[in-house]
Amino acid sequence: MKTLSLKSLPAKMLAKKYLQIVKISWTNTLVYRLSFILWRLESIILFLGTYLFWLAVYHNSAQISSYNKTTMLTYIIGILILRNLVFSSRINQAAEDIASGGLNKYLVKPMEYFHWLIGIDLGDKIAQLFFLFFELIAIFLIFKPPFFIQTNIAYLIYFLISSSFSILIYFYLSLIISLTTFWYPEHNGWPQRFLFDTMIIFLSGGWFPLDILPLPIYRFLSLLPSTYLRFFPLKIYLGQLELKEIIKGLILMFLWIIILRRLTNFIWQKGLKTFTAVGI
Amino acid sequence: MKIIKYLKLWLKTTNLSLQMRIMTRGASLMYLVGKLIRFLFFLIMLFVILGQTKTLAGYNQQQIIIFFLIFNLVDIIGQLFFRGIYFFRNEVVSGHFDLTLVKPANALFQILTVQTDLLDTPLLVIMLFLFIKQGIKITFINFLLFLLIFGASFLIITAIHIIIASIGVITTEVDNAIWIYRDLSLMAKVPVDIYIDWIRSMFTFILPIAVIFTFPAKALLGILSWQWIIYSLIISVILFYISLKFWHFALTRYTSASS
Repeated sequence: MKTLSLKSLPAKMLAKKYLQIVKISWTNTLVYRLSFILWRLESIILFLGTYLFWLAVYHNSAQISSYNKTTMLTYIIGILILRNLVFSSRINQAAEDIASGGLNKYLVKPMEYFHWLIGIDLGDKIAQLFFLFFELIAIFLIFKPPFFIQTNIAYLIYFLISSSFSILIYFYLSLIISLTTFWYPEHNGWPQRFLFDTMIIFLSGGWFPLDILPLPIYRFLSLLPSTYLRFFPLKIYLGQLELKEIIKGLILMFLWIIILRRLTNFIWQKGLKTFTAVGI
Repeated sequence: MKIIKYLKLWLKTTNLSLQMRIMTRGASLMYLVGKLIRFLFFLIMLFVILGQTKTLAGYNQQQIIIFFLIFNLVDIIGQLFFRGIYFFRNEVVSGHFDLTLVKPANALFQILTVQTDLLDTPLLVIMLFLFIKQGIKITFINFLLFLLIFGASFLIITAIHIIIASIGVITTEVDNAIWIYRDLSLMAKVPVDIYIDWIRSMFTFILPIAVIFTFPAKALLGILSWQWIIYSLIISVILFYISLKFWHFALTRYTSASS
């Protein structure tokens, strides 16, 4: 099964088509408003849980590892921002499409399925970030957290580059998990998603900075792509890495992107051969 | 007689849940591993932090671990008995709730206990092992008090699930509501005493997360005053009564729209 080639279409038409997908995703996100509001509330509660916990930890301690109260709480707020930027994703829809057989309707359409996923992912991220902006204002007004503002432009540029790379790494990792549904479609792919999500929160530094772990564990984790989803960009933002460490990290991220992209395409091609649209 | 009838009903649904889990062994294994990893990771985090700070809000490492284990115990018991709430939205949206209402058994009991999450039971064993390993001495009185507060805690958990089911009947919104409760309860993995004043007050008087998760551990450690014991008992009964009233009100708003 192959998708139609899009190379013959003019770039302007392509852009218009995919902009439409982004719009559809935005609309879908907001169609069940109560559900969306509660989902946002849930996100804030999760953040507050982590934030208030660390606030309490620093009540009696001035320094934990290389983090004082300000840098740690900045890290925790950074987690919230990257959660919405990197981890807000609709890629799990791919698993549902595969398990239900609904993938068929995309395969016969004149567009690439992966492009469709990128489109809905982008629409979702825009919606989440839009609302996060107002939530952050509320958090700063209510809790008045100490926040480290990075003034070094170079660090900010590296932070933006690494965050962009993080989005790509998460996209491919998450897509690979969804594609395993070709072989294990039980519960629409949720068991593998649950396992992945559980591990990635911890391994990406979603609860605390990974470098407060014992050094051998941290060194091992530094080799995994998960470390670069949250911990690495935030470490750059905090200005706690030297230039050579940043360059080394960015190169590793780039390599992971290439490896994961190839792996995704390989799994996709293999999966399509086994796909029988059994759910239809 | 009624108790035996409902016990049989529960055993039947539990048996069916077990069969479903065995049918999808791979999925069950992944869920189980995920739950164990989550438990282990949080434990690692506590050890790493307490390794540096030594205490947290005046509690030592052993006490914090006890609070974490009791949190898991209470949470698992809630999950074990009331897993059905996660499937309730579909019942309402699809109109299947009509069939539940006409069956000769309490509708609330049916929807809350339609699934029993047996995947948490291995975690219970691990927790018990870790608890024994802590080697704390528990007096008989403290153990009795723990059972008493644990009962109050269970009553509040039941009340919260009933309130969420009632909201589901009125608005068809269940999933996010139950997750909000779950996310709030995560904050009680550590004693709520560590939080700032107004959060602590909120968790004691408005959303009694402290009564559900922190108080049983305090009772076991013998550090819960008699005023809080009485408060726990009173608040649990009041909340349970309110939840039943709200459920009956919600039923009057049920439109049976999809059937």
